[in-house]
Amino acid sequence: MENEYKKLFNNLNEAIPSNDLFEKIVIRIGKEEKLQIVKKRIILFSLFLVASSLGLIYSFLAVQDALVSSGFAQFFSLIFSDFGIVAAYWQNFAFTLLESLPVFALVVSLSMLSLVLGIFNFLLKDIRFVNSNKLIYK
Amino acid sequence: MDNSSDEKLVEFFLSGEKESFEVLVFRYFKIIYNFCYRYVGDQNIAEDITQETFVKVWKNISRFDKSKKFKTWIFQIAKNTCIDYLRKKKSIPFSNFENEDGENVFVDNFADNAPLPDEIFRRKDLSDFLERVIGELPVNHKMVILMRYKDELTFKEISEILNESIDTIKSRYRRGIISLREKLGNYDY
Repeated sequence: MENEYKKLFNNLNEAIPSNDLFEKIVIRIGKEEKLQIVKKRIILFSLFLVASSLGLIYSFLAVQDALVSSGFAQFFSLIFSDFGIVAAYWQNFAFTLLESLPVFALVVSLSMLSLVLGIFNFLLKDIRFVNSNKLIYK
Repeated sequence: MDNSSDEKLVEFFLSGEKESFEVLVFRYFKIIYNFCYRYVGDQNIAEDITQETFVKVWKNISRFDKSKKFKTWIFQIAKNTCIDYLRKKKSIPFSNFENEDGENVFVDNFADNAPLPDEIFRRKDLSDFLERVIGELPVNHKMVILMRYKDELTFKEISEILNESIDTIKSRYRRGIISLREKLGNYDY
């Protein structure tokens, strides 16, 4: 009897999937693989972003301290308080300003800023990629 | 690699041979597509669910219990994905998938050894006719019968896939066969 039913159901047509279903599945799995990597990267970038943002705040504070301790802030304030003298000795004044500029702290701070912006840029790209690949029952 | 067992292919994949997963996909995509199509009755949705099933298999393959059959496992995932979809769509009463309460002694002891009418096999439109008759069966009866005869699964495998007791599956099968025979008998040949 089993065989008779088997024979009967052999006559039942198979539903035929579209020709590219196999390729679609392989591509979808490839996308999922990439998606997994990107999701891990988002976590990593988020941690980097938090750490570099803290570094940026710290480096800004360090620049602020350096500007005060090197005398740059006081020299610079002369532009507003004694503009005539600054204008008369502008070459010396410019040299003094340059000399008192906390170059190292500024370089560190600007590097931190570019690092934060760079990480933020990558993070946005990855988030956009994840959002654009949210498939499931359209 | 193409001749390796499913379980061996899983092993190959886990040891880094990515192509072995493609062999598994190629081996099962039509079967799973047909299974999903029977559940949801829409070709496009069945394709989406088939894709989703393989993604789930790929994601969870490291958790596959090697002591079990891969075929049973992939069918389980496909069934759950279909049910998730149907739950979202609420297109059929969910009670269709729940346990049947009570046992029917007559049905459980029904011996389906009477031969099928020869006229059935002589029909020119047998496949369409069968499609129509099968389509009239309750979903859970239809699924058990088709899993048994189209997917060539044992009652034990069906019970594992549908997460029901083997007695429930046998009972559904018998009820389904009875309805099927009735419906086949009610048509003019």
